[in-house]
Amino acid sequence: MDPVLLKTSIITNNKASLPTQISRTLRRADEITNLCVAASYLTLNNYNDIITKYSTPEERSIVISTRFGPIETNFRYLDTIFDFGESQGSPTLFSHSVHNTASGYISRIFNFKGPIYTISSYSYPLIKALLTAITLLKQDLTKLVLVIETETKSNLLNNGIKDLLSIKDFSTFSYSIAWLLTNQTELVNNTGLVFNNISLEDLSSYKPIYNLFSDIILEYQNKIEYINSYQLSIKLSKYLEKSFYEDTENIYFKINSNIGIAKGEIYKYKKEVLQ
Amino acid sequence: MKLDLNELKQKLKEIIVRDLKLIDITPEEIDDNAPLFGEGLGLDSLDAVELVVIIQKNFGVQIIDMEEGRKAFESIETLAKFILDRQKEDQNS
Amino acid sequence: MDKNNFVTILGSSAICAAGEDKESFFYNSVKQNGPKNCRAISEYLFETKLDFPAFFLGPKILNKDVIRFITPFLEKNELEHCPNRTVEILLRCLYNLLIDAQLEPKDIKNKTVGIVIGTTVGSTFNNESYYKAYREGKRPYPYAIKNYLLSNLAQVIQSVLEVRGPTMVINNACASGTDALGIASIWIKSGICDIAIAGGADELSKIAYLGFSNLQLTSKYPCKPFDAKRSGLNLGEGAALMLLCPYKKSTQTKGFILGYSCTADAYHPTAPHPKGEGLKNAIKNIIEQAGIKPKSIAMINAHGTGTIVNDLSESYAIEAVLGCNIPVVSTKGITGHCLGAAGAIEALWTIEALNNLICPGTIGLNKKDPKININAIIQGEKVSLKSNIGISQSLAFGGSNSCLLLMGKD
Repeated sequence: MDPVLLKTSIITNNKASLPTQISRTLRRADEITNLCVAASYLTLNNYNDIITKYSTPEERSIVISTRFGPIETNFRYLDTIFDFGESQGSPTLFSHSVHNTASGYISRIFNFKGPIYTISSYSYPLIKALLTAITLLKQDLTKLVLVIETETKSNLLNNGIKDLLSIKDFSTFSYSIAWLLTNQTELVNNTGLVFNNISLEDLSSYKPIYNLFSDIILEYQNKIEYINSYQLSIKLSKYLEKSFYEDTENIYFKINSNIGIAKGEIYKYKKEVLQ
Repeated sequence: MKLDLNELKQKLKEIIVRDLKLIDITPEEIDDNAPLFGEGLGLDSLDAVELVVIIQKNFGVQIIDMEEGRKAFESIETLAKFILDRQKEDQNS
Repeated sequence: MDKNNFVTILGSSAICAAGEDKESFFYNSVKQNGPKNCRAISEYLFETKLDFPAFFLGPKILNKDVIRFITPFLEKNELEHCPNRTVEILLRCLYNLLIDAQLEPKDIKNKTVGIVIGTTVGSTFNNESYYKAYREGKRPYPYAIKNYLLSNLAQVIQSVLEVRGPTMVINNACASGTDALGIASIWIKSGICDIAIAGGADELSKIAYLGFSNLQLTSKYPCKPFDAKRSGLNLGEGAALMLLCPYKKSTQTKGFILGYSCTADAYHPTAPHPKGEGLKNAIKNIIEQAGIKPKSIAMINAHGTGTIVNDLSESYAIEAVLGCNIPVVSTKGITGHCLGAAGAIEALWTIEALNNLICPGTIGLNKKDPKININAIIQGEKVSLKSNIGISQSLAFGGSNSCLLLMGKD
């Protein structure tokens, strides 16, 4: 069947309460890894039995998307080099400063052995992750995809961007958002959303995207709970509409969605800009 | 850093718990002779290379490669003795 | 074999320590009797007290033609230079790709071109002097920030070529290049883009260099994949790109992608599964996808970094699925480990080997490790290939295993 959204979760601080077994595995993990694992746990937690019953580990995939990745972990590694010398840099910090570390943790903790990807884009990383996830599902290369968008707060970046653009107000903050998608009828629950016909056109994405989900995240700040998937999707679509209109040169896309209970169409697209 | 064997063992336990971020064990609970890797404390190969850097940073002792490291890292006891021996060697040379 | 599932390679280009272009790269891999351009880090790259050798390109990456090609892009973004060395390497490779594919930018302007580029260093904020100043409490001039925000490799290509279409950078560590080609081939088959430009690029960076040394994965000597005396990897730098389109027969075709698979070990943050479990599945998947018989595979271009653990686990996986007769080679003996670019460089080299029907031995491999049973061809020898189908594979930090099944042009 066409790819369906099963569930979503948002984490806005990395002190989510996780079972001891998972916390133990996270002993060396940095902030971005903690955020991604927490979002994964919240998303997968109630589905464990169904997932184990209807998919093998090789049929479960992960796509993590980000703009800046573990940028602060990279700086922590540099700190060890500057403070203690080149041959005394922390190998643990270095191994966590590569973008794909978080996906490795998720694959180990939740036993996902299918394709695992980490992608980066300054514009609409979640949309690009969804594109990849949806093509994997439509081509039957996988049965279940955990899509995550994540970012961590970086004072260096915030200050640098303010300096670069001579603006007073800019801040990124730490969050992760997880979406669980599947193409298996058995895995669908009744409030699933159907995403199809996502067409993605990147026109000239040279303006960095500044409004990083701030409206939605602030509304759910400090709420580390399950959030009903279609509520989130409506909010996200409205957000996308908002930034879409604000950054009309940069991207346009089309999403048709059929919300299980309240049938409606959230359909946004932009008219042709280029001939 | 000049410590005797017991002080060194205590210090090592504290450093290991703190710098390898072991969350459900205190330095007091680490047995001198318990294996650090595999069973016992359950450290892995990433902890091993981190430990090499930790030893160099805190005690000035350089471990050239993991062959050398493997023997030294068997337990707190072997590690402490290894460090003291190397510090003596470095002093004499 | 359903040909409609093949993805056609219309053009390809590469640059690495073993050759400024794909022809000299392949030629050198056959003719060389040792590594070239593998030595202690030169000052024009960076200063370091550690002395692990690395494979690197010369100080000057851009030539007059490439500069002319990219000037509009620089001017549009008010840049005097490329944002970083990775972008320079990538754009030189892009220029050569268009020539190889016999395309001019105006032929694809405003077309729906998917762009998927793998990198590791290219996605990091690795401006050391900016960070040093910042942590000392200074507010350095934000050139470094501007460069960082303009350095997404896929978006750079899109901006240079002025095309439309989905763009994405893959950060899957050492498998990024293989994954970029694989994902682009999936996009082609799904019809979300008409053609795709895919590959990988990475420069030698001080941070990566120190990091791999701190992890004790680097060797003080030129690397020796599969050798009994191997002691670690050497880093390298370079780029490779391919132009992909849906299956078609044309005189311009360089080869085909028959299949792609990516699997995860779910085992350890930095070490591969000791028996190569994830890799076994990936190899089986691509054989199944393409609907071929295992015996029609003529060679494997292995990940073969020269570390103790990688070469051994990789050999177990190959042995388990394909046995010990099939020729195996690692080109890292002449390119070094180019991280995000490695998978793309190696896939391109594999196509060259398949089109020439020869597989030269691995530079650096003089005497195979007795624990390794696969048929790793030693330096100085070469074998004729019995078919033009081969595998190029990569194993990433974090446990990803990515495999491409490739076929020559005919």
